Amino acid sequence: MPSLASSSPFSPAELAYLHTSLSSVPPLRPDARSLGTDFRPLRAETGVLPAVNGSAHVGFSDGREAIVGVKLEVEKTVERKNTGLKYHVDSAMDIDMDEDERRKQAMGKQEWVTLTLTVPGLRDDDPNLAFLEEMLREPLAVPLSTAPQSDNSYTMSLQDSLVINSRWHWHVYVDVLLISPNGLASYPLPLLSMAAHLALRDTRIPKLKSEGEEDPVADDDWMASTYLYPRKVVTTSPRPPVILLVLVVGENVIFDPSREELAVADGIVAVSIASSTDDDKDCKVLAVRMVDSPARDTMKGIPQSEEPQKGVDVPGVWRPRVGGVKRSVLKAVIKSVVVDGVARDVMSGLDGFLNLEDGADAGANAV
Amino acid sequence: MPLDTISTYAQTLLRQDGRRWNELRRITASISTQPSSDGSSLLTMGNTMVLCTVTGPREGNRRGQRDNTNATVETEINVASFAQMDRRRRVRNDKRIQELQSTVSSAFQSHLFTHLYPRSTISISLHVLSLDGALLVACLNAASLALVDAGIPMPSILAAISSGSVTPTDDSSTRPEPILDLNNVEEQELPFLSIATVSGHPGSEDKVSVLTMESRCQIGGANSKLESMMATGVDGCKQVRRKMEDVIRKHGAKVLQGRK
Repeated sequence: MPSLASSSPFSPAELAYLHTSLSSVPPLRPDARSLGTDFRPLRAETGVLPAVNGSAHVGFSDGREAIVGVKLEVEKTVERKNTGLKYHVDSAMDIDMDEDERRKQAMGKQEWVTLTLTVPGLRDDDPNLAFLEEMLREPLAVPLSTAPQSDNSYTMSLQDSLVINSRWHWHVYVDVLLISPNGLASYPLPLLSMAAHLALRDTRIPKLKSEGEEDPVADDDWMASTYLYPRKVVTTSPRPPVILLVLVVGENVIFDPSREELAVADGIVAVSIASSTDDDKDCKVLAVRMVDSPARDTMKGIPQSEEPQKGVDVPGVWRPRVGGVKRSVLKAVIKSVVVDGVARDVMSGLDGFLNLEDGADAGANAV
Repeated sequence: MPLDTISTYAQTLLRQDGRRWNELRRITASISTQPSSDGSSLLTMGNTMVLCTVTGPREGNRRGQRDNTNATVETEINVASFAQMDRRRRVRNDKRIQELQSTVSSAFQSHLFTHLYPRSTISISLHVLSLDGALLVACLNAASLALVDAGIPMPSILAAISSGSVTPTDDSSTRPEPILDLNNVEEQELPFLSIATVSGHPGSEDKVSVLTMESRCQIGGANSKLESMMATGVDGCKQVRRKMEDVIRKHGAKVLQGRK
């Protein structure tokens, strides 16, 4: 992914100071967070908009905010050409379809999930925008294995749960609006993915009055609708993915980086995580992507004493980062996400927030 | 029961959503909602919800268009694709949106004390999160509140409202009846105008600063609709201004309480 910041607002001296303090063990973070795995507080609310199926508003403490609206639309399923043979026996299929075929039929397509991102002041066809959109959409629509579980329940990916019958399906539109004082320069990936996560978990599918292969007719009663993702969660229940931005400075792995920390990153890694389908694991990694660090485009510092020799690193003097990230460091990133339980903490934090919202709703109804 | 205002209004004198002719929808507003911007507001009128952020006055980024005596007001309106019942992705250079942007810009360009900030730019950014009629009206009101929050001096609060006119179809001799604050359904079947006023000196009348009408209606003759619509609109603006002033006073009191 290309670097999103056009120019860094920090001087070489500031960058050197930040880099030195972040690469010490344990890292000294500029906002006094004690651990690399500490997250900043964030505000979130769901169900903020009328006229949508699900919505969320997430605000980070640095003033960035994302508002997400999820809309569902009924769409006609276009039969693929290569299933033409199956098409002829369509009428008979309802009756004597074996389990295998039913499974095949219940498979959704990736195109049924659309995600758009709007950033004020940015052109609609900005390449960074298109890249971010795809990066957010891709883990949502990842097809999961459809192998039967031990308790005979099938794990369904998002698009599989959108199937109504063989001719109709729901199309999910996730529209993300980013309100940020400095546009994409603040690397809003975790903010956007968390907002999309909460909005999708707030999304309800209207109950259908039609049955089986009939054309879908929705029930007017909104209270009868069901959630797109199950609201009462156990560890293995499906949840939308979350993308974490992880920073590598020296040997240190730092989560939820602030703007100052991003400016001196040796490497930035975007890790998308989803809840695992196995009982013994909490979370699994869907994708790992390298993001270009803004530290590459900075000016180098000049030592005061003597003219520096080429390729010699003077301690305390800023040198723009070059090259990639070592395999061992990447391994450490994945380890701290999966094994050390950052992914689990993030997921359970989001679960806890939704439980609180549910509790507040129930309390309001009781009074 | 027919589901349009024209055929039922004459019998019940109530509109589809149960309001009388001069009743507003519920207006709620709050200011300083976005801590990262210079001024911000969140305004809801019925099911219309607009979030406004103001940046500035600050040095403009386009040096060529800088005005050496006044500040320049820029507006960006962004209607979210989830704002209406049917999802619709709006392109940025939509002609209607562009016209609304220039309407909002020119309204505040002449209303604010722009001569206090020469060579600078005030950017208004409006996000329409939910749309149920009164697009321009909600944008103007939200921008007005956000500009107050940004501390940009202005002689009075600019308040806007829409008003429309109902003419019973069966009898053309009956007088047209004005109605206030139309929702989306009413906007689609009735002629309506958007009007914004600023209050004059104490004792004098309000002045109209914005007046747009995008539908056709009869202006002259015995059954002129325009005059009653405008009179209703100006009265409606007074009510809206009172509500907006309340919001600002409450916010001010809260800020003072926090200072103690």
